Amino acid sequence: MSEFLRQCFLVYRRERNALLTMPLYYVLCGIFFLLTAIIYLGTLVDFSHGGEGTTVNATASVVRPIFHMVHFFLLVQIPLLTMRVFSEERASGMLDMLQTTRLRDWALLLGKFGGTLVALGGYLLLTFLFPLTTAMLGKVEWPVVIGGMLALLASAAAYTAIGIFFSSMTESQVVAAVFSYVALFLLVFSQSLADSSRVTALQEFTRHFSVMEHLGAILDGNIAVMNVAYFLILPVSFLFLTARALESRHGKA
Amino acid sequence: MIDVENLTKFYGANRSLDGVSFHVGEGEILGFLGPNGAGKSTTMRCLTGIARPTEGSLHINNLDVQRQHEQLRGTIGYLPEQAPLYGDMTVSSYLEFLGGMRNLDSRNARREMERTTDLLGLKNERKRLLRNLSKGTRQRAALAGALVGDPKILILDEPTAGLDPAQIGEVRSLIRSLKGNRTVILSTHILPEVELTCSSVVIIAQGRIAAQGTHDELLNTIERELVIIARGSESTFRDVLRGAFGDAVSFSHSGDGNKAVVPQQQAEGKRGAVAKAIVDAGLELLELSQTHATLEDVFLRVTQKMERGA
Repeated sequence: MSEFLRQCFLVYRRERNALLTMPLYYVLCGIFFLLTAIIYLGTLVDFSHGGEGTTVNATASVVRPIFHMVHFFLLVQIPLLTMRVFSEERASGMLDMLQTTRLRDWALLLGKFGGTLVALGGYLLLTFLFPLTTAMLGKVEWPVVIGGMLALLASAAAYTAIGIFFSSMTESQVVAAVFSYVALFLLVFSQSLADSSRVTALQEFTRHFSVMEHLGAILDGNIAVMNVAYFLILPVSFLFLTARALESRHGKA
Repeated sequence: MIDVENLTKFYGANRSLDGVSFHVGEGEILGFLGPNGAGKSTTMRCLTGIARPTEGSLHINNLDVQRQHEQLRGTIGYLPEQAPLYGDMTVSSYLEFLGGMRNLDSRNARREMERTTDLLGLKNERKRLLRNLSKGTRQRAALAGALVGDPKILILDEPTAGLDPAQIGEVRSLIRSLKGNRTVILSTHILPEVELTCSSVVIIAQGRIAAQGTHDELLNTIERELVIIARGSESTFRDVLRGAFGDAVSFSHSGDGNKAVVPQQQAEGKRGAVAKAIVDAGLELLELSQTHATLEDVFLRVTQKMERGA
């Protein structure tokens, strides 16, 4: 294994283990899983009774609303889990000390990103129980479900990259979390805000940047190149920005 | 081995270092002394490439620390003043992780973990989480981290901070044992640590070099003195000593006796005669001794001189 990959793996393992031994991780995952389960059960009861607003399609009636719910909970929890990724090490001086070793910036960054994403992947895997349970009770469109799960994972990757970027900019975890929330809020709700302004050019402009535009399309089963590209470009861009932020720190203290 | 030339560092408008220059030869242990806020840690940070100097040059093994930092990475073992540790890792996993960061494969990283924990008396702490260790044990774990990979250059900023006297002794012995094999820069404000450990000393105050040289060279900058304490008539005491040393003698009181201090140069060869004269004059000779300058004397003198000059 090359030195770079070995460093990536070691940082990844450290970061993943750090998250998995953090009580906050279990508290957040536990609360949001419980809330999702309660809402899911309510939706399922409505669906099985043919309640108001439900259709015969379990994917559209049960799974998709749950995916939206999981997405909302990802938005809430990711800044809380990523705020410490670099801020903590900047404040403690660990980032400086690592600078005297042979660790490459990109190995550090990819390891931390991978470790955080895998820990979040564990939570997402847990939410897969909902479509599985639904499949036992009704007909589920698996391509849409799989696409939806991948879209959630892609949005988790994008939000993680954004959270890590802001964490690399400050020693304060609180500041990192606040900036991450503001950035995510703008990404997710910019479309709704633009729509309410009734300015057509602004609406058109924000459509390209809005997460909901692309995520919604994938959750509807529309896995177009534009939507996939969006979820590739977003995390990669923020990873590059973070790498630049780390690079600019060298010898600047 | 390590050459620092005219190192100057500003933090905003504050000058933290002002034209610091020194040289450390291969296998030397250099004590970097200075009061708190003198610029010791800033110098260490510049040497490791973490901080960028405003002016001046730093070379390690003929490599420019700023321009060729990439080539130097992994060759320096650095222990910062506030030793950072991953509290959620065990001692062994932390040291093995650092081994990996210094390009050791897992087997060698494990071997290095075992070597350094044995060296620092951490064998029984290997499986304990770093956050659960006492301050002294954490400091030893951080020092073990600096030694992982057996780097030829060690930069240690206050390595004995937080240790108890027994542990301080062990760490000093460890650092002394590195002499000849490793080049060590040891920053501290604990003077006996330097006296017992280092082959040469740099004293820094207010960001400037106040003194530098070997231990003996620095001690020779302080003149030794002859101290005489005798009980009896003060006027007789003064007359006897003025007769022997003229105006070179200075008088004071010490407990219930009269005290006189004479520069050693003036007192050379006269000790026996002076002792006899005091006794013959009917005075009770309580003490006749030669002072020995310590590094503390040198330190206080040069740092106070710098402060007065500022």
